[in-house]
Amino acid sequence: MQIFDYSGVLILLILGVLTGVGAILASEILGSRRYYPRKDSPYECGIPSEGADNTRFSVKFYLVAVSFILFDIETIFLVPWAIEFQNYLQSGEGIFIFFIGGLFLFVLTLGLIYEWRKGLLDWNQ
Amino acid sequence: MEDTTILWLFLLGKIVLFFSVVFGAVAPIMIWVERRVAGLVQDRYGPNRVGPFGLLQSLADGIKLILKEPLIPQGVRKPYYLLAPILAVVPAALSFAVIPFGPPTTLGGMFETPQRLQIANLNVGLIFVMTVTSLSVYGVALAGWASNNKFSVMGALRASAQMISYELAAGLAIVSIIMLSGSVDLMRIVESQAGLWHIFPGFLAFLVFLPAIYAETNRTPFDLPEAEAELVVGYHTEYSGIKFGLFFLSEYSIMTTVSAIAVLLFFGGWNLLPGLNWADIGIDIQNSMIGTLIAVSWFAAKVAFFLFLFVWVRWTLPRFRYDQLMGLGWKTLLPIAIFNILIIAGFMVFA
Amino acid sequence: MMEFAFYLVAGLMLLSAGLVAFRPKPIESALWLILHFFLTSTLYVFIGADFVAVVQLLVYAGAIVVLITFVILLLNLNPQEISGGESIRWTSTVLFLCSLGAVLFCLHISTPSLLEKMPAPGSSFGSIEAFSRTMIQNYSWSFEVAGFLLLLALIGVGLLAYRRPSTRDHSNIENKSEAA
Repeated sequence: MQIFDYSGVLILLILGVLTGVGAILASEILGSRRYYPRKDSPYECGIPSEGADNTRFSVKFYLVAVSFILFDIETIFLVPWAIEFQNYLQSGEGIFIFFIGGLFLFVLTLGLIYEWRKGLLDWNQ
Repeated sequence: MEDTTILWLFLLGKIVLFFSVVFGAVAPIMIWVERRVAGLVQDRYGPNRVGPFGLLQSLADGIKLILKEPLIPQGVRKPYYLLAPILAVVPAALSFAVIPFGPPTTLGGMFETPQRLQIANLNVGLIFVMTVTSLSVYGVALAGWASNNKFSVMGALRASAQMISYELAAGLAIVSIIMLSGSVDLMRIVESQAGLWHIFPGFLAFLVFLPAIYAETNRTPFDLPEAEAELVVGYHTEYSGIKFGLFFLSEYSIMTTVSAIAVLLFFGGWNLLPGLNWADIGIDIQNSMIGTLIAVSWFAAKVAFFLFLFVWVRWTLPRFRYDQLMGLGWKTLLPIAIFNILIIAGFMVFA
Repeated sequence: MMEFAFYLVAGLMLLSAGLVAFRPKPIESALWLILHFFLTSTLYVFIGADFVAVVQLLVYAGAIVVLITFVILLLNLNPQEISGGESIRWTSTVLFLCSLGAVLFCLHISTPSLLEKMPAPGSSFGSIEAFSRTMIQNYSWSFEVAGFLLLLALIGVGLLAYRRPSTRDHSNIENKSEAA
């Protein structure tokens, strides 16, 4: 049954791509064409472009992305834990499952607090 | 067991149905709702000339967008410029693969065993949805990059950073619901809400989830990356015509997906009321066609309410400043989500 | 039929991996990398490891390549800035092909035993329930250690990024738009 389900996903993927490509092609075929050079310049509220083209951006975006990776992995680890939670409750080992999850979350909360105190979550974040 | 050809036909039917309903009907209707409600909130009429009550406005707009000049501004990085809208639409389309539209049904006897109204019954269900929403960042990032316009890149970076930050909070809220249901399979999550809907024990989770999905879809009050006052239109400034339309389409599709997820996870999916099931009032949602349709319509009504909520909130609340937005995501929602997991775990073990 | 699908996917994977390494534009490499991870996911699905497939997509394609994309956007990299010389290209191509050949040869020798260990189709081998059960039952300490490793990584991020609040990090665009 699994391959059957995944082929459904594949078909949906192909249909999504076709929608996008089809819409763009339709526009190419059916669209009007009245070209003049001013249409080409990048839009900046009607005034000509100014300012250097290679301005640097804040490094905080990078920090957001790295922190995101780490917390995303944490979430991934929590998913199997969450699935097994009820099984362990029913078999009487609720305390065990609670504590391993609690310890994991505690360790990660420490990390979050560390980032918070260091000010990495400020400004952009 | 069914004949495999019938199963394949059913699969194709489901795909076509979902695709045409969501891309072809929900998105245009949502755009109409958006504009009418905007009008009501702002004490004016929305579109009311094209068709009865202006209902054909979206169709007219769609045709207009296709007929517009497919302008590719000079200096854009052309292959990525063309790829970005496609990268936006694909996750939007893909996210529907695991969303069940209604209860397992024999469709009034057409099938011997009840079939799921889901395109793909993946056993990783909910995680698949999380994955696909993670991938929707690329459409935004690439659109901004390709536009060769520093405001677009700025808007793209901000929008992407916002989306990934709120994905964390949403993910952790989802984890607590997985704990309450014992499974990531969306069908089982709905079935586990036959008695008590997860909104009651998982109220904090919902409180985290709702702003998170607003931020993920870049909707007000989190739409600063598109704010006109600061960044023109942000990452899709240089897009016109149907390419712009594709970004819009993907935004409304993802809104529909996350509204459906909110209903499935917190509000019992197609269950009648907390504590009262369809079977209790005598409606057989599994075997009779009418029953199935009633359950599906009830689910659709709930999803429609959440979509309306999206629109209502948009035209009511002012938008956040970017640092407030990021602060909310990391310093408020994320700690609450972690705390919520501990609380729910504690309740489940010690009470 | 499955073998054909496997060879197709594996071939595309090798192709996209090669493209990642040898294209001059970093953003193009990033896009081929996404495709590569997507194909890796497909291979995981073929052997029945569903959970690993989605996690691969979520973490690699959905987080790590996002990081790479952010770096590319932030630095506004141009192709010329990161290309090596011609000789580096050729040496790396040859080394790559040799190591690839060696790996494939080892796999070829050990293939019979690999095939015997594959899970039967229809078993719950890689399903998320089986994975969760095994992880909590047998590897709960590894689970905690993983959490601790993530903490170390977070501390690493803090150390990487720590700067005294100075004027040098604020870019023009940020200040202009905050003041607007």
